[in-house]
Amino acid sequence: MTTAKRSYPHARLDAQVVEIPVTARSDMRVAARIYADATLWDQIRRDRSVDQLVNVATLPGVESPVLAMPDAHEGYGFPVGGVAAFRAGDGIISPGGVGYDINCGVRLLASGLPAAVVRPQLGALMHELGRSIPSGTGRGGRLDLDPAGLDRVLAAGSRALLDREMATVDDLLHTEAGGSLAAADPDAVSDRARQRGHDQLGTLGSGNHFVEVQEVESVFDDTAAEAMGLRAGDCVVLIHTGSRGLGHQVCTDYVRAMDAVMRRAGIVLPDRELACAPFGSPEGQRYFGAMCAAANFAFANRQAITHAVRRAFRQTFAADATLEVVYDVAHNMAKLETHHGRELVVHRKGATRAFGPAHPETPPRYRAIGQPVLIPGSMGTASYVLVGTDAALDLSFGSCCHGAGRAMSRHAARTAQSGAEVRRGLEARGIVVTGAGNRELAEEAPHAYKDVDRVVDVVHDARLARRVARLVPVGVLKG
Amino acid sequence: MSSRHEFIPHVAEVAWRLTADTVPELYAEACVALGQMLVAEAGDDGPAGERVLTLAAADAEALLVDLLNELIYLAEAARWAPRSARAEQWDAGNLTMRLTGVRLRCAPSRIKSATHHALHLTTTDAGAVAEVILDV
Repeated sequence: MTTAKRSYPHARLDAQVVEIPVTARSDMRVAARIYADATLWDQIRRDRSVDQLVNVATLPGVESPVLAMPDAHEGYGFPVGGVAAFRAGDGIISPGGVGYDINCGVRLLASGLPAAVVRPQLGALMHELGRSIPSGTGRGGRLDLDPAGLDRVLAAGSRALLDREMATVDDLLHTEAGGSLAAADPDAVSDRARQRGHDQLGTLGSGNHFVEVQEVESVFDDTAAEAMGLRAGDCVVLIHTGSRGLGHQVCTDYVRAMDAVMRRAGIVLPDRELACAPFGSPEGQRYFGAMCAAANFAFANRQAITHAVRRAFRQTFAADATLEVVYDVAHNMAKLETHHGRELVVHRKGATRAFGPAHPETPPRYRAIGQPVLIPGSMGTASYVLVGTDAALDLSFGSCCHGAGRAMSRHAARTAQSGAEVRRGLEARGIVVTGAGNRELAEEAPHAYKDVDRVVDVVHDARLARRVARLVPVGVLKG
Repeated sequence: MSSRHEFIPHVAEVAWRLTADTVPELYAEACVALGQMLVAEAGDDGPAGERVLTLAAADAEALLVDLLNELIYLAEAARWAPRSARAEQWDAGNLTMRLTGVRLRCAPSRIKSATHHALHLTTTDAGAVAEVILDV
């Protein structure tokens, strides 16, 4: 964009953290910290993510510091990979701080099947997954909900699928917030959002969304891996999607509404996309209720896809093939949480919650190890399973990175390598790719992203999360 | 200056620079540009009639975002994308567009929304220029 990128005074605190002091710009209220080693810091500074993070540091009620994770890149309003906490009493909530894909997130399923068993049937499995999980252009899914059914999903999330026998109690136990945010207010979701979402439950969407069959390539922490049911050489399934058109419309509706609130109140922001409202105001509460309802839709969406994945495994392998939910975690969300004795609205935009063993919201099964943290890499590269740490509560409001993070624009990625070349490269490594055109493949090629191994090294060394296992792709269903 | 749009660099999203002789013509160009992206993604099944959109917003920039978001909604909910557009009435806070469009083969999902981020709409003696980012 034509807006000039600024540079700011900064100091490296240690090998993983750079700080921009509160004095760097006159309107900053708190300091900004970027988790990045020297290489990632150079990459992050190439775009406007740092400008965007500094803008966030100017918002009312912000707690110190605002944070960028090592996968950070330029977004709109907040940077992607950004974490910012605002006091519930005198702070704000911002739709742009959550993003358009509300509760975009990741779910990991453990199959218990060795890769040696899965690989010979991989073609059939990927065909069945592609047939049963609509992807790409937003074709209606398997679940076309009537208004009452959609209301139940918005109010109860994954829990609404128990009655349809598409979810189990165990699934809910291993989903962030039990897959159901109690603060959801279906009445705050517009008719337009409902119209966009009513036939999209169980669909992937497009962009960087996917279902990947992966192999556990290596285990770094035997105890944690065992608690999660992960064994080296076994196949797992990673699902990455969000709230689809319903969530996009909720964000659109409330950015517009809050833009008007800003004008009425005479509040001037450094970026209009940071439009926000006091958390306690009627507008802030209404957005929070709508956002939680959209997040419930996203939890239910990943649950519906889980149901389809289980069916595909049963059809391909054995009628008793089961897949257990290891964990499901959001990376676009605002949550009301208590940190350092204060009630805060923690915005994680392209960032993952990473609570340690001591946190009461960590599920009983993981109390000895910490909450699982799922970090998908770019298509064709590794993904990681980590666990949250108690240290992260002090360092990052219990937050961690969410992926590799883009390093190259979609146009530049298409110019660098054609989709056909990307496909051939993946197939040469034995990876079956389905559901994507050459354009999408080119845009999501590994070279368009940062090095996920380096990103994970930073969060591990900074004690935001701890490495448990490295996963490599076997089959990719692209959105 | 004739109306045109170009893609400008953004690491993750789609960013446009739109230029036209006048602000109403710039709105029309934005409609056509978005229609082209939607048809490229979803394909089209031929003409699908005319629509008239009437919008009100705080200023000319917000009108541009609202217009694009209206079309994104129509594409997903009604499988309709614009092929040509003309502004029938415009002032700083109000806009009436008459559009002809096509029926999309399926509902597109690539573009989530038009954003207010780094949004600019300026007018000079040479014409109107806007930059807008679409979340994809």
